[in-house]
Amino acid sequence: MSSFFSMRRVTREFGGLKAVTDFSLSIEKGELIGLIGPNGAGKTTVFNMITGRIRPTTGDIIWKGKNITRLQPHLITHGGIARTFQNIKLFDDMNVLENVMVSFHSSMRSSFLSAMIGLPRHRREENRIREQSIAHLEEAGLAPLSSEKAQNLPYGIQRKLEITRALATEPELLLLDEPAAGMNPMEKIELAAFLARVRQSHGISILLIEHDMRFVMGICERIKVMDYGLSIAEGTPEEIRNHPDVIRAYLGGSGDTPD
Amino acid sequence: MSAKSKLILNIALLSALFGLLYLFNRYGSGYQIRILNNIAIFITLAVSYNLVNGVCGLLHLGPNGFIAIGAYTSALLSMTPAEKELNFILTYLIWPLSVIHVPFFVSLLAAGAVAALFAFFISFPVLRVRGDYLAIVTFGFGEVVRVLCNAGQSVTNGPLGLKGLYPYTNLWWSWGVAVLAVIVIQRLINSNYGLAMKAIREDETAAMAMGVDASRRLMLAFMVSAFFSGVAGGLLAHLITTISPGVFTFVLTFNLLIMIVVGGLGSSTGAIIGAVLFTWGGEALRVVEQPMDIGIFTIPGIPGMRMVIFSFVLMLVILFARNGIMGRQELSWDLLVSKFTRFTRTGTPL
Repeated sequence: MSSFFSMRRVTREFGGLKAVTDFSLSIEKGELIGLIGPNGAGKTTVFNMITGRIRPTTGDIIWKGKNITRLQPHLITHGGIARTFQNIKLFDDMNVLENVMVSFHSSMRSSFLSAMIGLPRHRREENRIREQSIAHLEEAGLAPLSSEKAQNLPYGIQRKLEITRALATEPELLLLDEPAAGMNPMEKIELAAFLARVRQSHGISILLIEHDMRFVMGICERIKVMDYGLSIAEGTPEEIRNHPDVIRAYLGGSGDTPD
Repeated sequence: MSAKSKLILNIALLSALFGLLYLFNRYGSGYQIRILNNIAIFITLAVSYNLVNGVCGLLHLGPNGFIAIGAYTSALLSMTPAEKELNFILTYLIWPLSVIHVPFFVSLLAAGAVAALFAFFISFPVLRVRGDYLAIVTFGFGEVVRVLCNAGQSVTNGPLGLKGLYPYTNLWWSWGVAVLAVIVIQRLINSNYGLAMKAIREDETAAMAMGVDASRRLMLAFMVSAFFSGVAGGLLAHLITTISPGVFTFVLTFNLLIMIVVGGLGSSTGAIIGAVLFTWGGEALRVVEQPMDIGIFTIPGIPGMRMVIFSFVLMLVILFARNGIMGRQELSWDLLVSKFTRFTRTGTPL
């Protein structure tokens, strides 16, 4: 029963609107799961609930045996769940290296006082963070852009930097909100390869929201489909492709037409 | 450039500064020394104010409250019991304060500590809100402090204020504190703590998602800023030697805001430049408040003309040069060297 990550009958209401209803999901270590559904199905709300940005009305979120439903966002990140955002949220006026260095902030052991006095202990820690951040940038192939301001980067690179920044928090579960949005086919292939590499080297689980069906079907082992806040189907890409409810959600229709 | 040569340059710069101060202290007029003291105090205030407004991106409008707290704390602690008795003619000063008398240095530390303590307590309500709401709450705090100074007669002597403070503040005290504040705050900004604060300014949601405890970091900035504002308040009290609630109105906050916006929000260098320009410019512009003879016209002196000019400058900066003088850049040896080599290579300045 105690799985790696699970959401149990989670519901979130905004006023009278049920954005997510009785949503359950479990993820095993190392899995890559896709969360799909038409616009407004409640996918991002699920992400926001997992990362503590909004609290579920009812239901529990269990992470490695602990209930994290009411934890603050930064504590959830410390616990090992990192995310990216649908509309890219980089620290625009900071350079690429600094963007990644922020992710190591919670690993700081020296106090602000030693920072203000400039103790050697603190300087060593700053150097450690710098080196680790550069290592992450090298892994993602972003090291040559280190001193570039985040806001000046092309779109595809910004997406990649956001993933790198999330990885720098050293998560065990990574939530990607439409990582391939706005990318051209070449960039998408590159992204899929990058995600596969990251999964292998860090051994992390990934949950991703994506609208590009070919991308999702290509890399996910299991797919969960949402519509109007309800989970309507779950299975392998093959099963999802032929699921009548999924086809109805995407293409409309009464549903009694055989296909 | 190596760290060692930077250190040598920094030491050389500081010695030059203090050498200059020595010359002024020895040969300068009282008026010049007064302006230099003012400049140092406003540098301390502007740089610490910039930590909250520029680096953390919070529109904090209550530094006058912290300055007032620092000024009163320091004054009440450094006055002798006899001086206090002379001041409090309508009511008595409450007991422990009426007998305490500590050295100036200790009173300054206490001024900073008490201001930081106040910052700690008010940060709970203040940091629950952002943007315009935060501006309103902090503005309210500044006003509440001023009103309390007026009303709490048995502590602050009310509208009568405290008079005849010993003028402890000299060039060494004021510039010593200014240099210390700049170094310490700049170290904080350049550390990972400063990075986290900038990340919160850029995007608080993302910063929290990256594991930054936003409210604690903002509280830290708020308290450090309040500490130095409090110390500067103590210096100010012992410079002007008379303090009353009227000294710490919102105009003080507004002046600081002009300094950091004109200098460049988010840049300590900008804050320093802003403080120097404002303080020195304020004196230089005294001529506009004097009666003037222009040919056939005679303009009578208009008090307050300087503020009109400052407000006008602020409007111009907001309209045409929103980044201020420095933007978010800092002046550093590396920057100077790179500009210089570019200049010698290509012959184009800047």
